[in-house]
Amino acid sequence: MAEFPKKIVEPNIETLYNVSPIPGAASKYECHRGHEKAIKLMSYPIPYPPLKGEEAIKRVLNRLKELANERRSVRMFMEICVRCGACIKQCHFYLGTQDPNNTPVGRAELLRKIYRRYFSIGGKLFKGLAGAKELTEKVLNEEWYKYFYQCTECRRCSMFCPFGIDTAEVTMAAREALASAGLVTKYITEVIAKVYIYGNNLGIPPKAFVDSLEFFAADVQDLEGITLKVPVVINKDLYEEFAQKVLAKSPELKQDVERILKEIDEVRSKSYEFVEIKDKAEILYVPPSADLFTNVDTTIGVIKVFNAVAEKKKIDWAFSPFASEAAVFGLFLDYMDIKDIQYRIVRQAEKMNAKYVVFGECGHAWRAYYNFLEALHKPLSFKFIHILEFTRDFIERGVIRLDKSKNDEYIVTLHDPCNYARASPKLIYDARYVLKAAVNNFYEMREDTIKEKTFCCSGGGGLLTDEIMELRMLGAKPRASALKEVIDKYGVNYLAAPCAIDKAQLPLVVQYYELKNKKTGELIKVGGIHDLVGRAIIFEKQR
Amino acid sequence: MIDIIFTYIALSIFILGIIYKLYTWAKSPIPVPIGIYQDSTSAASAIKHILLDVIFFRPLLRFGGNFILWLGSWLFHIALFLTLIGHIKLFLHYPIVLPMIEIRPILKLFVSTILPASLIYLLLRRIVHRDLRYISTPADYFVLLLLLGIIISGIIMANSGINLVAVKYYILSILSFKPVKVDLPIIFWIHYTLVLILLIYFPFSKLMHLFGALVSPTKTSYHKTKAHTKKLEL
Repeated sequence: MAEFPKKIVEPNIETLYNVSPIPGAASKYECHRGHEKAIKLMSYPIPYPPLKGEEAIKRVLNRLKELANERRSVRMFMEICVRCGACIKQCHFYLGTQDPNNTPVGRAELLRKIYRRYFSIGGKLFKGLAGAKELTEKVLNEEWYKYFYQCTECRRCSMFCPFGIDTAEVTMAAREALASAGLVTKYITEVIAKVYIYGNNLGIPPKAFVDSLEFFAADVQDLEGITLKVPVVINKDLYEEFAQKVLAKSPELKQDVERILKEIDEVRSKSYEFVEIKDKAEILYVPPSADLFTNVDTTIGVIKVFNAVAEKKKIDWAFSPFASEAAVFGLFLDYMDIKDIQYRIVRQAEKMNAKYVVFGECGHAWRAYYNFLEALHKPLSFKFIHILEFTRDFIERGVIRLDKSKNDEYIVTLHDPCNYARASPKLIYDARYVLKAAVNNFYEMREDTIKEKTFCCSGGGGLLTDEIMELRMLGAKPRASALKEVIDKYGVNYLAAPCAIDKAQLPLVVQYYELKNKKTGELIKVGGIHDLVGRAIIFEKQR
Repeated sequence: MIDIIFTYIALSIFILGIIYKLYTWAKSPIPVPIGIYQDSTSAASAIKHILLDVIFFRPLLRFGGNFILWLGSWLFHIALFLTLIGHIKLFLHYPIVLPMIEIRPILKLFVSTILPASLIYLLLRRIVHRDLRYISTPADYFVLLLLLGIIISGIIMANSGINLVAVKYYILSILSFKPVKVDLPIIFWIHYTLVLILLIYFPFSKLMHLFGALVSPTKTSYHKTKAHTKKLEL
């Protein structure tokens, strides 16, 4: 693993858009290739070893043709772009790397040039004159593989395109075409493989999952004297059902699968002080798994919200280690994996007779469930809601009360996760409602960097991997610039970012750009919204 | 003779080409409707968004340094639209008298200066800005130059005292499939030929953005969620 890169650009919001193109500037950033162990667990048929030469080209072109037939967005976005360039200065990766292939139009043209050559009359007849180009292995490896994994699919560009061209759709199509020839990244396939084996991105097995929850509640009891109940649903037969699918593809995982099943027996037979094991619940809470590992305060905040509601209403809820991952990394690869990852949540909700599924602070969950769930899974036995909407509803109804003064040491600004900002039902406004109910000191960053125009943290879209760290840091330059402005102007010392990828990426961004608390000189704290809610929430029947 | 054959070929390719293109777009389904407007939850709201975007070029007005582009491109399209409206009189049997006939010279002056000026802006920006040069295809320059040729020849022709009655007679004779020969100056034929080339080029080019702007899947998709709720029944 390379060492953490040194800062090579300065975050300055005044000069944010003063960039000129440096062709090839980002061509050094490349994700590691996928390996067989993970690739064979994918739902999408990805050839291993990767195809080469004519075979690869034929397969990619064939998939591209199919995609244009299967998805109107792919076909139209290949044809209606007029190269007006309105999108150019709106992409955080262009503003950070200055590589013109990282402009939305530049990125799309990598695909369009090939599309024209093989699928349009002008391209077939006039070739280069029509802006058409032949597909070669060099194009696949040096252009497509590199640059379509330099897009976080944040969709900011679609806000500025007169035709609403969504470069995320172009990126998703290109990645699927690459996958059909075996060109996939290590990070994405490994993470998806872990979901299929363990149920979450980090590979947290069921016993560690349950023990963590017990530990968090014990901590709160010790430090605050508050007793929290943490219900957990475990259905062993669900694990057995899905284990068969994994073993059919990778029989060598037998020992891992058996260990997981044994852990479930251990958990069921153990007695916990705070965790309550059961088979059914009305409400399934699905966190991003990182909330069990690093974003502990968010999880504690959420558990407190449920427990505070329980003081006034009968609420039957639970975690589930089987459904311990809200994020859907299939978004970064192909529709089949989106469907199969979501299927775990769908089956768990059915099995436990859940009426509602509540998703935690996670952008890739929201994007996948709000946009894709109903198109890929019918009928559904539950309704779904985001934890921010959930908490807001109870604050509005007066069921939960918060003491804002508990957060007075924080001067807070809000980073809108890209996946909440683009086409979700007003989640960014729910975030503000809950945040402002929990803190007294809140300042917005500059208008063109927030809400629907928020700049992506640059860690999503399957890019949260070490080998492209410098790329991630450069892409975060717009967000860092906006953050620096409010640090300087208002003394902001807490960056609220209600999304697990943000919580993994933004602390590194703060470190890279040396964004420090003006008073203490410490790096700016990055945390969730429910972290702050947890500090402010009032338990009326306890203490 | 050749002018008449060429006209029929160009018109056929134009009409059939557009129908074909729209058919290929419609044939591809939208398996996952993903819109870009958060409050778009009905066909009515989707239509509203599309109209606002198309009439006012709204996305170019969003914060981010596209205002000059908005001005140049919006003025170009408005002037183009007015010019095309003005050409309607060539296609109708009956004489048309515009209400408030005093507008005509003002309108004509506005259009004949704004139209080429904004087009030249659109061409120059593509040459001057390095990032635009990088992403432009030869076709982008071709279309701009073709349009420039049409516009300049049209302005020269309009100011040359051309016999518009003869032009109208010619056009109508072709459209009613009883073509006649006419004696028109060369500037007309230059303008006319360039227009026919544009018609042939249209369906196979980015000019289809005319329809693309109206039916872009991210704008026609609105969210009819049944499973999402903002409140629990508790």
